[in-house]
Amino acid sequence: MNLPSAPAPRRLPAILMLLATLATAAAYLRATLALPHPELADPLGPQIFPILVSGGLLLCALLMVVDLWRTGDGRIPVLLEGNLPFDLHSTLMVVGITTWTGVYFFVFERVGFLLSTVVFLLGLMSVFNAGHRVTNLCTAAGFTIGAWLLFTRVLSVRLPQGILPF
Amino acid sequence: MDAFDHLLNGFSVATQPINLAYVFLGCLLGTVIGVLPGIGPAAAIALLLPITYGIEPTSSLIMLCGIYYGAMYGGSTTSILINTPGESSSVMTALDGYAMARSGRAGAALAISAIASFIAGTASVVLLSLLAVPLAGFALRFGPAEYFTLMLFAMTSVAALTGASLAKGLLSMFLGLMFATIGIDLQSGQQRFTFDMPELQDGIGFIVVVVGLFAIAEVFIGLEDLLKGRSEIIRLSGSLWLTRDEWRRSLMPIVRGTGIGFFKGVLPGAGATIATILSYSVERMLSRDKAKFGTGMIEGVAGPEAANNASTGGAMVPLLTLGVPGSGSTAVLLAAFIMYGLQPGPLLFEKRPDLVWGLIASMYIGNLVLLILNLPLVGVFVRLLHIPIGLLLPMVVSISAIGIFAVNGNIFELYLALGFGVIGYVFRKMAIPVAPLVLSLVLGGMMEQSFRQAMTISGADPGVFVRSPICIALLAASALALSIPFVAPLLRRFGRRTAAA
Repeated sequence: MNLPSAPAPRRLPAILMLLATLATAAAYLRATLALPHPELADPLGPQIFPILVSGGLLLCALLMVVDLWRTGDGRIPVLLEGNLPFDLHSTLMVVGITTWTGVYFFVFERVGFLLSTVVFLLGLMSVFNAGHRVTNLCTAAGFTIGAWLLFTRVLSVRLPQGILPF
Repeated sequence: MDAFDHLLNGFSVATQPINLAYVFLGCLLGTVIGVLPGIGPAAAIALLLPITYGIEPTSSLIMLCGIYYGAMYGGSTTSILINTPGESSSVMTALDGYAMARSGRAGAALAISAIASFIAGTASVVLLSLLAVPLAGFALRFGPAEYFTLMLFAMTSVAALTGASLAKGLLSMFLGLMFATIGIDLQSGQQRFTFDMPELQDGIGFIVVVVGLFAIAEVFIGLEDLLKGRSEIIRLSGSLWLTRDEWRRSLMPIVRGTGIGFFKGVLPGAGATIATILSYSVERMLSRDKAKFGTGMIEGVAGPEAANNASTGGAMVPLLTLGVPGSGSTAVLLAAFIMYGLQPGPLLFEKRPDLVWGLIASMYIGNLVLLILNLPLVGVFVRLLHIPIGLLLPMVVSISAIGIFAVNGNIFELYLALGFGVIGYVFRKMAIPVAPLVLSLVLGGMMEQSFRQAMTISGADPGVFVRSPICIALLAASALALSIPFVAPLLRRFGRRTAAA
């Protein structure tokens, strides 16, 4: 089968998506088949629906192969239509934000909402609104205190207190 | 009692001072969030759910619906002024709206957008009021097999019609169903796919998924766009009032857009985006100045804006009468209903008519509030566009954290949301639609129960799904929806060849 030509960088993520779909379907089916089937429960048991979903995921993988071969109106494979490029700079940026957010969530309960949120916001704002230190500090502190007052005092929503006495 | 009597009772609920205040607050918050680039209606509802905790369910749902159509309304402002649609349903508005703004007619573009939205939104609520009783009565004939095929139709339609590739739509749908099976199986009481983690016993909360996919993923995309430069904001210029000629040219596009938007809104999957594309295409086709479309034609703003807002009323029809949403945003609304222990559908019309009709009546008021808010205050909303994205988006992450933590006080759910944020970012990059995932996650549990109940009743005979005319019609409609991505390009090529010959 001759696949229609497409820029190489755009095809690789699609192939990785296909492989990830196959791997997910296989892992999910394996986990489904490992589920015990209770004797006294309903006749179909808890496995039947996940088995159908696994089959659906395998069908998706098959359709991806078809869409990798089939061209659409844009003269490129349908599976690649609308895809955006993954460039190294953006990917590193997302990894960085994810890590920083992960750290924020890790300390969210331990340190408390007020301190963790001010530091988290200041960190991101320093990068993405660089050169405006006073604005960033005022916004981070003002937003955090405002949100804390609104949610804990007005709406009675519990937020983690952490190391602060209030 | 007919629809008119129900509606009058509904107005007695909606016009209570507290509910009027919630309509106003919902519309205001929705418009503000709709104006901010990147945050769509689904994320707006999910992010603002925490502020409804402790509020009586009717008032809370009135406010959430206000946020929904307020966000739809506000999305057009960014399309017109910075050529950056807040959501996909505002893309068509940007084509001529931004061109009008660049030629000094931003005021007129925003005015026709608000007026078309008001007329279409109100007309769609009138149609919703008329259709609600007969459709809810019809839905009482649905058993487990009919509900299963109805949910299958809703999901397959959304999966098939929300992207270029059917494979990607179905992948999103099946991943949503897969996530829906995590937790304790309601029929056998057995744990499934929990990996012995107590946090997963109750399954994955919809707020976690919606906030991750819509809000956190949007932060990633927004910050990435920030690094690549930002669109110029056009200054609000020109009169907010329309000339006689502009009124004349806008009237029929609004009428046609309303019809298209409502019809498409009722159908699962088609939704607002396709309604606006269809409306724009119809106006271009009917115009004597086809070549001028894209250069600032007011018909190209009036029609799609009417279609966009009429679809919100249309989308409420299957949600309220059948309990089955047809889009990502209405799936989040369904989840909000469920959170309050309410199951939308025909029985809700019998058990809680005050709530259902109060909600419908509040939409009439909401559309009026939006018109009042959007015409004189548009200049205030425009100022929001000047907030630096580098300040705004980090705050969205913090609001997301509050929204998720407020539900169960569980840090594990924050990590899950972050994971879904990364998934949402990859989905955006790979052009995989997220609406099918959200819809199937919300409906997955009910779909499995209906499937197993139907199979149990029939003694495990799959023929139960083709015994009733309703099931057959819904299965045929599902098959038709799944065939569209394959058939439509062939029809277009055939049309082009015929035209060339």
